[in-house]
Amino acid sequence: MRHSTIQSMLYDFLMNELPERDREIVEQHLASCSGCSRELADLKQALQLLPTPTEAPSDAQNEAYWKSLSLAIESSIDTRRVTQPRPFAGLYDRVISFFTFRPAYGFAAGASLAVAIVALVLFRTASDESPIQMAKSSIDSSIVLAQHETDQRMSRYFSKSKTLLVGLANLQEEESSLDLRAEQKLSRRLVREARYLQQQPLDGRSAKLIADLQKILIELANLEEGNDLPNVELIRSGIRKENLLFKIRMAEEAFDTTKNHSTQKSF
Amino acid sequence: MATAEEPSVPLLGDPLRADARWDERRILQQAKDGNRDAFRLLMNRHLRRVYDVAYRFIGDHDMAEDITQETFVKVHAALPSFRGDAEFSTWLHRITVNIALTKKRLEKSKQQRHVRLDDALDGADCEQHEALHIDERRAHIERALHELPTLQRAVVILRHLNGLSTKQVSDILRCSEGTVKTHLFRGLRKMRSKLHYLQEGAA
Ligand SMILES: [Zn+2]
Repeated sequence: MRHSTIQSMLYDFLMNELPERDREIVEQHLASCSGCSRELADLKQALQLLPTPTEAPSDAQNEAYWKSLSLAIESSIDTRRVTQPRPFAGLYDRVISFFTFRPAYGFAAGASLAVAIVALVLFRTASDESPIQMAKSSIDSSIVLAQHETDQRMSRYFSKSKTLLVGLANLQEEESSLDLRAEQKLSRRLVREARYLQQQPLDGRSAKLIADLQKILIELANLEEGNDLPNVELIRSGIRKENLLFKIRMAEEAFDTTKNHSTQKSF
Repeated sequence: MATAEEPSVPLLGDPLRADARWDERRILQQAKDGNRDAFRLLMNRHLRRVYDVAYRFIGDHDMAEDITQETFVKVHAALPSFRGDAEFSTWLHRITVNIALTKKRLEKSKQQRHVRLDDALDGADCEQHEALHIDERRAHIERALHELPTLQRAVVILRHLNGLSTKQVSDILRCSEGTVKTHLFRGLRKMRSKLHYLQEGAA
């Protein structure tokens, strides 16, 4: 039998997937052919080089990670549902358009999570308008209004931050000239807003989140002109590593509950 | 607990427990019918495997995460049209591989930048020499794997890193088993010749 025929069977031979008859043929050939034997040894070595299936990349992540990833995927799915008919397209566009929103290629899943968050905030902000009007007529309206103002500013701050992060996530890396001036301008504004918010009475989680966001925003604001991609990429990986978009959403839910709570109390 | 709003997945138990009975066909049908709990079970069941495939194709955690997300978003959207003439896992793998390969193509154009970034990060922590050595070896192997032509890389990853059978790989890539084996053979041989120096050193 030809060497090439034997060699084409070596893989199955090694994997014990050769029919008995062929197996014997190969064994006999190998006994007398050093060339094919060397080929077999090489193949065996190549297989040994491969990481064993037991060391799966997924082992590096813990249970909590998979849970949050699973949640994030579900959010993405919900966003698609929500954004396809775009029930509050008007509001959505207004917020998105306050700086140049870059086109996403495909629908990057991480970004769509953020869009979900933005949509969520908008939805809540929109439905908050009536309580404000009611509060105006209430007796201790000034206190409620002050509370509301902070809450609204928080809400706006979070939603703008997220828009910014989504924009960063969607940057086309193929773009040769990166113009981040709009983003930088917005981060400077947000940095100032955060300084105001940090002087307000905040719960621990919101305070921590604002501090985390602040780091990213300052970094972005301080990028040199003609900044190159590695720096932007570092910021982006910071956002991802901290799972910031996800944290914002979580914190926001807590933030929103307390808001409803305090609103209810005041009526 | 009789509180479930969607009671259509009653007999399942915890799907993540090794001994739990897993009736994938039934879950699949329920997921196709739009049952969110069923979809979640299905997803959690396959999440890690999809991530592993993605990671091995792309060699980067963040990208693997993106691919995993995109895969399941796509699976969710396409599920109603999944006819079941292939195994679900085959179909799932095909979607994963397609998305991963598309990403990989996009990735190629910006590889230079990544290398620069990696260099910058490497300088930061060079305390653990021991770990670095193992990581280095692994990095060489990964690089050799990633330098293989697309199909060879795909079959080696699916067959050997993800432990699928030759038949499954041929279903995923829609080619014959013979073709899979040819690519496996060539791919492994190429890796071996590229990594010759690693084994010389280790012996
Ligand atoms: Zn021979």
